[in-house]
Amino acid sequence: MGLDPQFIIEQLLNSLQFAMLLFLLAIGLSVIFGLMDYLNLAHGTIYMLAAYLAYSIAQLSGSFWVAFFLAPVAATAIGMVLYLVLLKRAEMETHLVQVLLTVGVIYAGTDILRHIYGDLPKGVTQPEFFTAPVQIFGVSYPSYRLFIIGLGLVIQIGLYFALERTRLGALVRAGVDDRQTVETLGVNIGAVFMLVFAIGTYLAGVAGVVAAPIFGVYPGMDATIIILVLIVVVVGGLGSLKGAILGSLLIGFADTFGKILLPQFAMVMIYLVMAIVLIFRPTGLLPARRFTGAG
Amino acid sequence: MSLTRNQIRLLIGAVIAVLSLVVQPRMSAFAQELFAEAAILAIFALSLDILARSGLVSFGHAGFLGLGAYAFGGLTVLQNWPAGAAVFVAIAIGIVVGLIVGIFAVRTSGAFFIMVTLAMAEMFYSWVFRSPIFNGADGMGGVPRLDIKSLTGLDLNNPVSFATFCIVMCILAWIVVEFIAITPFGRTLDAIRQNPNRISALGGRVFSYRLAAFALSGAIGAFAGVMKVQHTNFLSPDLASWIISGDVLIIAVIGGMGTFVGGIIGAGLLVYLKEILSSNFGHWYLFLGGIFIFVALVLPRGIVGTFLDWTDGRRASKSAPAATESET
Amino acid sequence: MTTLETRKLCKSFGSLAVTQDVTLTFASGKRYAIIGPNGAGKTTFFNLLAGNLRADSGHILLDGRDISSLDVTSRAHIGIARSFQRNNLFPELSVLDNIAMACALQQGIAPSFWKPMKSYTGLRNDALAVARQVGLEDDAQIAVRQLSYGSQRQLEVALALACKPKVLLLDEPTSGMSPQETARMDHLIKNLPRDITTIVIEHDMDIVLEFADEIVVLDYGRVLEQGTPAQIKASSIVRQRYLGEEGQAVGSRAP
Repeated sequence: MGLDPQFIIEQLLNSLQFAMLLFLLAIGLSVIFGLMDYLNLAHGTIYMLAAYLAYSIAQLSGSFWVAFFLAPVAATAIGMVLYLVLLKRAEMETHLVQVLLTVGVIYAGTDILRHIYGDLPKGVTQPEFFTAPVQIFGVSYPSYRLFIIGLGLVIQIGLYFALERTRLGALVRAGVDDRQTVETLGVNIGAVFMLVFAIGTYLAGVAGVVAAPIFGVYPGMDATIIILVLIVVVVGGLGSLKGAILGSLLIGFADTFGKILLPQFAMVMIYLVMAIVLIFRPTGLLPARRFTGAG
Repeated sequence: MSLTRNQIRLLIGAVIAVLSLVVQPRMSAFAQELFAEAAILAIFALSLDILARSGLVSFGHAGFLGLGAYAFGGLTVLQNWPAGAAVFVAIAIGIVVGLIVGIFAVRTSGAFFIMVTLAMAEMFYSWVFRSPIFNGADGMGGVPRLDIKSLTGLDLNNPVSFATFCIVMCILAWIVVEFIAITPFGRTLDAIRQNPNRISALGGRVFSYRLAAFALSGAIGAFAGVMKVQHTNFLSPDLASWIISGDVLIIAVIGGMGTFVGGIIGAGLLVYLKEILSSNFGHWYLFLGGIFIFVALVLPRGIVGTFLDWTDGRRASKSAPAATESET
Repeated sequence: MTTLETRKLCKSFGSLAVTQDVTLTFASGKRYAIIGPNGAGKTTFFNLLAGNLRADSGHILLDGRDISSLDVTSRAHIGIARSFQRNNLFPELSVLDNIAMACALQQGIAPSFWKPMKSYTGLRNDALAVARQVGLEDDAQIAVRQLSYGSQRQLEVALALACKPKVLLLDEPTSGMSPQETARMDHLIKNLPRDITTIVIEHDMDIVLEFADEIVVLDYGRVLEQGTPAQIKASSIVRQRYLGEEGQAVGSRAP
């Protein structure tokens, strides 16, 4: 083990694949925070919800792909109801109130899912199309994981164009940097919020579905990953796509290689990255402009 | 003559202290266990609240609880230290780790601080969860309680004595934080919470004050951990999990953040609710989630905070209103 | 003798230069007023002096020592105190406690945690003295949020004064005030101790002309003119651009 090049390539790909999952969650959390100043810790609960929905849908339909398309949509619908009924009420409140509210949602959501599905982990089988490994850089690598990497890249590119090339993207970017100006332009910022919330929630749902065959589906799977996602956001900086990409890559790599290099202190690598970033860039590496000066 | 806000707070605290000391020995052994648990959680909530004085809300406070517990448990069980010495070393470790972590964490504030403290505590959690020294996820039993029999005549292995001891320690911790709050240092923390930028402009190093508050909070939080692990005699990584950070946060908020005595009331309330709800229904977390949501939307100033605001309102309506235009 | 000096101070926000090559000297114990239209970079200049902003280039010297790299807190320590254009107080504290906080920081008492703040009787007396100095002694026990706007402006000045500064920067002390309140503030600043080098940003030309020993006119971040009140009044360029017929400053830039 150790410096075997094949092993390293395999681990690099694993890092990349994990980074993509982190990204799918981090981008929603980060932009929702950037645009609305909303710290939505229940973002991970959507991830878990989508994973459970994927499990049920795959069971019923017998097809991963049906679940892949339906579960995130269903999770988004539930997420939007949650937003309109509950989360929206804390929009103008302090971060503390938002944390309390969304932690309440995590607890209640986890307990409800546990009541429905039980405590034991559920498995979701990989789609048949991606069961065979592929040869890449001389390594035999699971094709399903390559699919996740590809999906992540496609979504990143899509988001880049949506943010940089569309009117809505321009509004979102402007709204993150200077909300008041956008409001004075007569834009219905509430509608923009809702749309961004829906997209962020949908991406968290996608993350939940694609993660299900790899990690399994279990109560508490949201808490495990949301903490890493928060670190991604802290490292990458708030409110920016580039920050979320860079942060998830760094944490994805630090997590994978931390487990190999320091198995005793698997998490240390991640926190080392975070600590170093905080010393030199207390607002993260590539935050949106509004957050560069804020503490 | 009506009482001031501070006098009301102190009065409530004194009444609770006296009532607890009088009532607790007359109750069942089971109730005494609950008293001990509530008193320990109250100490923990006080450690969160003294930090909140400086305007920082931590979502990783279980890190300090776990740290104190593991320091005490590790020293007594693995190193055979006398429990008395281990208490002081555990508190010292709380201070030192508070300073080291604080150097990173206190640079941030608001939501960033919430995220960073959560991450730091999870780091400790994941370390003890895997650490073979402390038997990892399975935890480690046999943690002793302090032996203060020769000093005070109390045998802490007896539920009444231990509960009394916990209540006395809680009262001591309460007196400490109330005292610090009225010293120039405590007043400066409070002013920082209200307006950190002005403190900087007046020549106060906000970072240093907050760092000191974080270390102090670490000391008291570690002490709460020492008490907690003496109560259960068992070291478990769960002591440092984010669920505990959430518990202490809701305890402090439900009582009233920044009121100190609110944390004591919140601890009593949460322990009581948990007991009656989890024994009658299976779904404690569903209820706890409901409590979080209720407090966030209906009672963000907490019981004591809301009560104090109400008394303020009464006072203000008695005296002639002086306010015209408020500042932005 | 020069107390404060700026050399070729520059600051830009993006492509907008808000302070350009500002070189000025402020003699000890003299009173200065900075005037200019909105957006002339007056508050930015204060932010640079007090350390709230870091200059892009140029130097700031206090008593000959280069303080350009010091932050706000350090500059407060060495004797630069400021008030803010928008009230920037401790809303939950009383007037006296606001001032006492500033005194405690100035006297190095703030970090002590072994005895109650109340037991520092000297602190209370100092705070009372400052309250008296700004005419707030009758309101000493009132919480800031219950204080009238004008009194809050006076407290702004009190906090800066409590720092016992060498250089006092007052950012539009009369902004938003009623005529009576303005008269009180006028009285207050005219009675400030003469040994403090005081720099005031102010729109009210009656106050400026009476108060200042010297006036600096900023425009687009540049020093347009400087001189005694008589010289400024006589200056054709200033007359033409800022002083209306009755000698009032024009609040906003002329088209």
